[in-house]
Amino acid sequence: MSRPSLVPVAPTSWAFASSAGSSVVLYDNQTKILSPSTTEWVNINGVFTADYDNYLIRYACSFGGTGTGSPFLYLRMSSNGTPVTNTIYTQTAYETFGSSAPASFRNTVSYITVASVSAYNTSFIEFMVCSPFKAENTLVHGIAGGPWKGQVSCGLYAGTLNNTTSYDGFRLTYSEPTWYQYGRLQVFGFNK
Amino acid sequence: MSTSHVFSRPTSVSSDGAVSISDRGLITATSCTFVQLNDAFSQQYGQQFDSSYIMGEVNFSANNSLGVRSVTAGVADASTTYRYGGPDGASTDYAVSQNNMRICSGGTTVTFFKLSIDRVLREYNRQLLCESINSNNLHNQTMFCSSANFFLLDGLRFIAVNSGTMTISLQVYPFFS
Repeated sequence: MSRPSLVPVAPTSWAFASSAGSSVVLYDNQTKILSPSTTEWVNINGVFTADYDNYLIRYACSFGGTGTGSPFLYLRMSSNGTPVTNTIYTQTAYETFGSSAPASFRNTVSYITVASVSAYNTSFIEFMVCSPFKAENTLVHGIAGGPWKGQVSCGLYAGTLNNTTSYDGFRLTYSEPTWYQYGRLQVFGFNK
Repeated sequence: MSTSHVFSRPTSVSSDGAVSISDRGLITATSCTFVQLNDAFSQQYGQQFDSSYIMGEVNFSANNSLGVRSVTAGVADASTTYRYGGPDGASTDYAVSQNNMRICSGGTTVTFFKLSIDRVLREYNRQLLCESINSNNLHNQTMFCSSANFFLLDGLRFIAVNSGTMTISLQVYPFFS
């Protein structure tokens, strides 16, 4: 068989916002499933290494919670499990919610938006992380979509973290703390 | 070791134009209004896969849109049960409850598209994401994305949504987990 262009990568560890969310299942020896939980955020640690420069992350995730509105799913880069929470990310997005007209935003914030979600539905998020471990500017860009209040949402998202820090993982968290997430998350490295 | 991104070859393809499929699974259809992939998401090399990319390009005889319908056992579902949405590069381009999921727009220049499919086999709730880009500035659409839910999916039919024909080529790339 030919050499694969994308290689599944297993993180060295996972961490969750609550103990109830600590049930991670190893699936097919490579794929991770985050079992239903009440976790608000999840850290994926030790997944970026010198083996690969660029990564593809696919997350089929379900959401729920007691919050209102339409929360965003945020990504923060992390080192040794500690996420960067300073307002030093720049991001831009282009998205649609149901039958509303497309909208866009561009700003400097403490995260990179990777999806807009709706409660009790499964969304599909796919994004690339370029050069997270190489101690150079990190670029994140991707697409997300899924059911949204009986209709569908979809968006294109991109962001950067411009510094020379090496990051070995990331955190996925919510814009609203009362929401939780679970699902299947896969990380692939692009073969060099 | 698990592998990803080798090609997959559908069991069969059909079209109302001239259509061919290579040994490596490259599908090409010309002067057609549809091309259909049958049993495209079952297994390859003896392995099942539940996620895949479809990468392709399309060129229409006139301004048109490309849509996709789910196929089960060789039958394309044309019911108005598709819900999709997404921003277009130039206009308020969104829709719900159509008889296909629109995945890109284009004209007489080539439009490239990437369709991401998740959970085809293992779970009931399959989802599709699509990104596309074209260079047809006269049509004023340079970027498009959409998402939709599909059910009972083992193949896909790509259709020209409006009148006219298309030339389309595409290939399925599975993700083995």
